[in-house]
Amino acid sequence: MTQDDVLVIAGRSIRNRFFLGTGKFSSRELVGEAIRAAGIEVVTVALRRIEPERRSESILHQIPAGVVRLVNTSGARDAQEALRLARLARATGLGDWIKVEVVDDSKYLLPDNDETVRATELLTADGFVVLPYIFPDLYIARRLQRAGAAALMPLGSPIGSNQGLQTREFIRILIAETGLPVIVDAGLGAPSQAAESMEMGAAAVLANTAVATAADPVQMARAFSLAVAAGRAARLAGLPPPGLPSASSPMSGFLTQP
Amino acid sequence: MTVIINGVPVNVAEGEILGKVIDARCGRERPVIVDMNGEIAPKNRWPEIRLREGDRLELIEVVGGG
Repeated sequence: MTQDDVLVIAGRSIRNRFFLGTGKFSSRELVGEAIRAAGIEVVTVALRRIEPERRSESILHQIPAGVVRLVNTSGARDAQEALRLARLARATGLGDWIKVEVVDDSKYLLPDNDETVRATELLTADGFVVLPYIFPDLYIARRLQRAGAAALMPLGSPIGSNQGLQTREFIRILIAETGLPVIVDAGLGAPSQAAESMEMGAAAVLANTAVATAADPVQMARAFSLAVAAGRAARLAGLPPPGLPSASSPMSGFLTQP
Repeated sequence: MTVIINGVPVNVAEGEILGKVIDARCGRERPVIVDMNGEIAPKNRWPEIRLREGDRLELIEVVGGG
């Protein structure tokens, strides 16, 4: 891979195309270790009501300077709540990158695509860099593109399910038909699935649960990062299409020939 | 008087300063975001904002998330 293979989002150059979610880790320190070990450049964080009795260090102290903090709007059930969370994030100096996540379904945790479009329209008008988390649907993707989304974040399968790329054919359509970077987010359970996403032409991959709940999250963060780089290299190299059997060794000059 | 902090009614002194309430509940070092009655209260104004009966505060922090 060449040195200048960078993903550019809102003017920011990103070399490591593996984005890490920071939830579910057994300790804050592990988050920092995983970020450093895997050379992570973009992480997601969330906003929640403070728990006064839990006086622990902020997770922000574990995120090295220079790493993009992509704030999700988890907890938002509609566009207005997403806008409110985004403004709170910006007011605290977290920057203006927002992963719009509008979920009003507590069983399957599927994103509400319509509200996500509305939230994206509100947020881009307010100057945010918006990366919407969606169920992969071409019509929604086009509306998001018109609304000024900086990238699309389609789910591979339901959040935290480790079910992998169940939506691969629909993600392929988004990659082929929109000019936006497609960042596969949610549901990936193994580095091989991240590599496949990149081979398909995804611009980046985000994972959280598969890393945070691994027996060794730091090693798993490295594994995902390597897999994403490998998949990207394969994409750039040009994968040959599947076909009929074809010998790899010459079909003449056999020693056993008479 | 009573104010609502993160959805829970809390008794505070009449005309209490917002900054004091936050320090007492969260400590000084912890990064806290404050939403007061639906508006963001900038940190540099915490020492001068006086609370009123029924004010609704949301004290928010950044946590790990996907």
